[in-house]
Amino acid sequence: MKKNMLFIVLAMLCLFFKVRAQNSPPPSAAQTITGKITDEQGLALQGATVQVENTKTVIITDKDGAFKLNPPLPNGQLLISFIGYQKAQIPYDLSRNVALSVQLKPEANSLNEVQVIGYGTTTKRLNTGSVSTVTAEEIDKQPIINILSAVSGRAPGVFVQTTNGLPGGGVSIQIRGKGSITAGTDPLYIIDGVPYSSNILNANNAIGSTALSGLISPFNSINPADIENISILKDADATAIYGSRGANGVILITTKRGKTGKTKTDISFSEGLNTIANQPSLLNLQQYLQVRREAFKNDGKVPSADPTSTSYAPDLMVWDTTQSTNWAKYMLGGTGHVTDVQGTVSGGNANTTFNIGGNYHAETTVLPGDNLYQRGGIRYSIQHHDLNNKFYIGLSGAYTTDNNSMVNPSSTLRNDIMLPPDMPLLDANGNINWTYGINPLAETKDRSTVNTDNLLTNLVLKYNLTKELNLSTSVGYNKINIDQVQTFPKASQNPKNSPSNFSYFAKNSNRSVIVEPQLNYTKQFSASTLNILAGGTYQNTLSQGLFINASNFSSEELLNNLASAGTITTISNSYLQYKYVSAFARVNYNLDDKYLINVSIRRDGSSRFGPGNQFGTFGAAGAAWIFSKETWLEKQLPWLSYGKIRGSYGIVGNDQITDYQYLSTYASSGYTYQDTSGLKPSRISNSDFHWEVDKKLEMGIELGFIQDRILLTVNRYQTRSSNQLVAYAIPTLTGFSSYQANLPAVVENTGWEFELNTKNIQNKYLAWTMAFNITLPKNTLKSFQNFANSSYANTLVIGEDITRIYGYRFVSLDQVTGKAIYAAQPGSTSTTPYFYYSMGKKTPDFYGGFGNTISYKNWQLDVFGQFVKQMAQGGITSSPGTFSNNYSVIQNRWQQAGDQTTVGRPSTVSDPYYSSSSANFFDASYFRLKNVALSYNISLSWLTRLKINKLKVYAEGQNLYTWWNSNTALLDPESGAYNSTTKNIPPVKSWVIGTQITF
Amino acid sequence: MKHFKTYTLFMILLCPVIFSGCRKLISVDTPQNQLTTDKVFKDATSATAAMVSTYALFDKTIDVNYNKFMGFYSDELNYTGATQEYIDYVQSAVFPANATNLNFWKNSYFAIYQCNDMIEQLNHSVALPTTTVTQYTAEAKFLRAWSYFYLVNTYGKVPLILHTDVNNNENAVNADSVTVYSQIIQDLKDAQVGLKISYIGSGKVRANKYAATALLSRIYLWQRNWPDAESNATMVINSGLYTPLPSTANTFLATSQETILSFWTQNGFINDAPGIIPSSGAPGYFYTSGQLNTFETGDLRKTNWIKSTTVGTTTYYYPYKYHNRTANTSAPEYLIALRATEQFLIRAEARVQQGNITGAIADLNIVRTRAGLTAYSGTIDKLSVVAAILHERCVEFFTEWGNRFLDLKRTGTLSSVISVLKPTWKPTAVVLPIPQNEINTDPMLIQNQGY
Repeated sequence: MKKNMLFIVLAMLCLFFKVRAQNSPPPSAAQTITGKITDEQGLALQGATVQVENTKTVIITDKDGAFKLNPPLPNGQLLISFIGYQKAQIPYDLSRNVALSVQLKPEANSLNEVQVIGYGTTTKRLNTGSVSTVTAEEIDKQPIINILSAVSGRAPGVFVQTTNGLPGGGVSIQIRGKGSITAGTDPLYIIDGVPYSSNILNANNAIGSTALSGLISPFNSINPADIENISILKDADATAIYGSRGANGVILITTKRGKTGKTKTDISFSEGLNTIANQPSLLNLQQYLQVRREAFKNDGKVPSADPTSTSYAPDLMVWDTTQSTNWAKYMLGGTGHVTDVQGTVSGGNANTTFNIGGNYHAETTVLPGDNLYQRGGIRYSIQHHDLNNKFYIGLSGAYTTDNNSMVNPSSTLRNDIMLPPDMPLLDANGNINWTYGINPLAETKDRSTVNTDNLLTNLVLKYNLTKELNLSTSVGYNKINIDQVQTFPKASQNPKNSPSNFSYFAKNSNRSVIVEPQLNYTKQFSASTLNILAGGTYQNTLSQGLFINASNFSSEELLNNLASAGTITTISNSYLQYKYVSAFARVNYNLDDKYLINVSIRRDGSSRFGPGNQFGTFGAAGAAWIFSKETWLEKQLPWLSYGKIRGSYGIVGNDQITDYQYLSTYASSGYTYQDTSGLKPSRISNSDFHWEVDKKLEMGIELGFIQDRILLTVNRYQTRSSNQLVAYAIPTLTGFSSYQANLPAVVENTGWEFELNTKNIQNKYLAWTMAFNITLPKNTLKSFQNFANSSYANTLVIGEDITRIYGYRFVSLDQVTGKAIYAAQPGSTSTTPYFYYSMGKKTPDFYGGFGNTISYKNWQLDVFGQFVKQMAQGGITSSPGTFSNNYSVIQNRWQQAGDQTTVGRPSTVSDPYYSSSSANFFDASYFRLKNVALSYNISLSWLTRLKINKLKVYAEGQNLYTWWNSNTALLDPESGAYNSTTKNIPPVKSWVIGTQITF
Repeated sequence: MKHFKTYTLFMILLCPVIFSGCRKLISVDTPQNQLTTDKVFKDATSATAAMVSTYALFDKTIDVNYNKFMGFYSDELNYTGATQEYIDYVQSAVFPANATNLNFWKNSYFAIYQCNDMIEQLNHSVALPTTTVTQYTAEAKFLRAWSYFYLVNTYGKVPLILHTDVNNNENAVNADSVTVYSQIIQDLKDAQVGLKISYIGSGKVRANKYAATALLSRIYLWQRNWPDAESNATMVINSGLYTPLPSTANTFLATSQETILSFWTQNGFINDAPGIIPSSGAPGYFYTSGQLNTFETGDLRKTNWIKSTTVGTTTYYYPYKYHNRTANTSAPEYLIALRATEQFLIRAEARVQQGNITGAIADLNIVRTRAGLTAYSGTIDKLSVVAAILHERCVEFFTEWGNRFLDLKRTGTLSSVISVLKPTWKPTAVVLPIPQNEINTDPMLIQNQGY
């Protein structure tokens, strides 16, 4: 015990005693001890517990960290404790008329690290809910541009997928499975108290489908180096305080703050290279030509050089069959250069701290041509409290601007990769070769430019009304402007389609204001603490968008200039106003740091619902028992240093739906007819939809062994979503493809989460820590009212996963014709292949991460890997033999009777069932070496002379190697096969070296 | 604790104030870019905007997903590119998941939804004058009939949607073609009553009484109701509004005399034109040699409505009925829906079927003369004259609204003609597949045989 304790009584104190002693009453008269408890920086610690050992005399320090007590004995020991700090044991002696000053050291134990939760903080030890945290330390080691990538593999229950690896591309996060069939499954993101939209709300106007990077993720406008930590709230206990918005989990992002102490300047600079993490495995030229020749032979056709013939085969008859291009490499095989500079000045005194920083990041991409992504920003954070600690004001914020300019062969990338390997880019006359209809050299003249401006700021005012009660208000403001231009010059388009110059212009903005008044009451009793929080939220968000499709520009040079357009083909705009108001309360009771109860309730009103359905109530209760603190157990199991059982149950909601769905309206159709601008119905309105209800249940056990050197957490969760708010799919014969409704179904997500953290070695020079987590999720459609008549009767199956992938079931190959046979509908006499056989699901079987950190003297090495076991639909679009290249899996084709394979005989006529069949479904499990970071702290005497406190050099790598079955029809196991919306460019492999100086 | 009580009291008192205002705090106005449905039909201007928007769909979204693809599907056009969705049509083996097929279906039903909504809203409207309600209801019925004509001919048993109630529509069942046709006839008869002879606004771009009559005569022809086909065609022809037939050089201009109804274009060129007429080089789709050879020598339609271009040693032919592929204000073109020539040929066919061979040949010769051909000189028997009329239709209406496919199909010759040309042809291909998306989401819907 002694080893773990540290007490510091300032040497000055002795002197002070001496001075004071002369003026004091005689020692025998003293009955009171006074003192002040501070942290290492000398900041007062309010709420610290001071207890006279072996007595019931206990007192809590006031706002100045001061205490005063009358001990029953003339001398003894004072036990001082405070959450997150190491306990201190200080001797006292009343005969000396004691005035103590004690500094507490923060506890190194991760259980005591501050954990950010909704509207407050706690520690891992005392939390009743399920929360995972990713810290700045973990973020800083990863050379990433989208902050969400940092979470990948590091938090159990959180499935992160890079859907597009280009700068500006998307990263999707799903917490504890997909609960909703169609509605948003995005968590609620809150940055410094301000809700942050994870996607462009008015997606109708944002031009994502024609952008190679897909829809812009607003998270690219957040500088990862500004982030102090990311807290992921998962269970009902943690999320119910966010009520209607907590169903998909909540991600709280906290930015860095200044710390008391001398002014510190941090500068870091890094430089690196990017390449694509994986290249798809395609047929080479000889393999391709062989398959094509077989196809013609099998069809009894002779390849022709006549372009009007139905047997026209330029790949065999016209082009030079000795010249080969790997088109995947041509399109995605480039090397990007990355530069990143960060500078921060921070510091402050006991009353005021500040942190001001600037950053710049530039990178080029793996695509051919000129591409540049740039991001720059400033960040500020100032905190101040007045001398008597009554009033606090804090202002923080960031302004970020980014510019993404890149080539944009968006409509053809999939086909570009699959071009016949012998297709020449230029014809014999040196002109663009348009024989195939597309040409990568021409298409890379298409460009996309995106400018994003993002201002996110937050003001907190707090006033301590009494010792126990404070009143605070948080005011947040976020404004994002996204300005996109995509240009498509005539020269980039197939002249056969009689193209003209055209451009897309889109301007989108999202402005959000949030005001949250709160009242916080904390009462310390001798052995317990009661905390009551009550508050309210008012949020007003306005999203506006404008999209213009313009053509017939006077010059290709002027494609960025709307005024030069000859024709405005389409104009459309969007206008979405969202208002949200709520009242919430939370009661937390902590008895003896042993028994913890947390109850929260929230009533929400949202403008997204029709009259009568606007308000809903949500809430949860959580409890925890730290059984390792029971004395009887401490004696029984001395090796068990920490043990907690917790559970929670609650109801949360989801309001990720589009605005105005209850309103029947007409909007501009974008068509002019007889010089009149047309109006068309906007939607099938439904005035009846109401709040969805998600019931979350969780049980968890947390154990620490050998003085918490081994920490194990096991969670079991179950979420049942009912009355889900969905864009209910309907056949288009109704006029629309969906309408807003509550789905009369129950979807259950259950799972196990395991998290293990160990400190394998910890001594003066060498430290080795290890972290491992794994999640085993399961998703089931439990029930569905009137299922057989619903529009989901074919695509879903009760009892199966809602991410079910269905298609034709490959049975075998006809050994005479070599043609694939697919199963017909069970019980049907028809031989038509049946489309709705289950092939698998998108939910992974399991996923997780495994990391090691080793530090030796001034060296530190981090190695982190991430793994997923899953299946995925492949990207094969045509059966072997057609006029396009294919994945090398089709090498295994049927060639003669007796061949046992799933790939049919090559033919120039594509087998339409093949791409949607179980033969195009692959194991996409992988283990990815996600991050390796090596750093060295240079400590030389001359550095001190230059007033340099710290000089660190580092090398980092991201997505360095992937173990997977690459002989599949996938671009990459993480991003999957190409999809026309997200484009699924594989994540990049990056190498970065850098240096960080602090002075 | 004293303070605590005070503030608790304060908060309790504050609560009702906060909550009474809650409803106000989350009330939002109608979005700036939208108009509530009841307001649309309170005012003639906005009701007109809704009406004309429905017309715009036919050039903007429907024809572009139909005409040239049905040209591939039959034997008019060829395509040798690599886009699998197009190849499906060229091989007459369209797969249920084909996106173009879905687009045609979806856009047609969206037009039908708009018509249904118009009809329902106009029926409730008290603010609009009765004349407007009558006129617009009739126009909506005309467009609905037009849409169902193409749907029933393309897919066979299509769901018959006549209202906007999603709860009924989402479980719609296949309707047999007799039911669909009787609805089409009913709608057109209603339209004949509700529509005036005069056109609204400039140009012949809103349906009038003769548009409804012309389409009705076509429907009767399809139904082999020869007397009604003849009488309706006669009504149109005798109006004198659409004759004499203009020269083949002027047939497809916006000002063409023979146009009964066309779909207006904003910039003077039809939406599909840039895809069909190449600006330079080889066209994306070209006219098949088989069809090219069916023209008689001296046919002005071959010289005026087909153009060729030679790239290297290959000569490509492509339809050139519409000339404008970029904005043209001096000689604008609209997408022609109904023209008088068809009425002559409908009447000719109806007459010959009723034994009036002389009358039939007279009508046929009007068309032949305009095309610069001599009068019909073949055998004067029923079969020969019918064959001559069908041939005339083939060379007159090529690449117009899928006419070739429709004619082959209604005469029962589709399979025999196409199977010779395409080894991938199956007898079940006389109807296209109901799009997969519809089968996925409507469990009551039955897929066509063979898909």
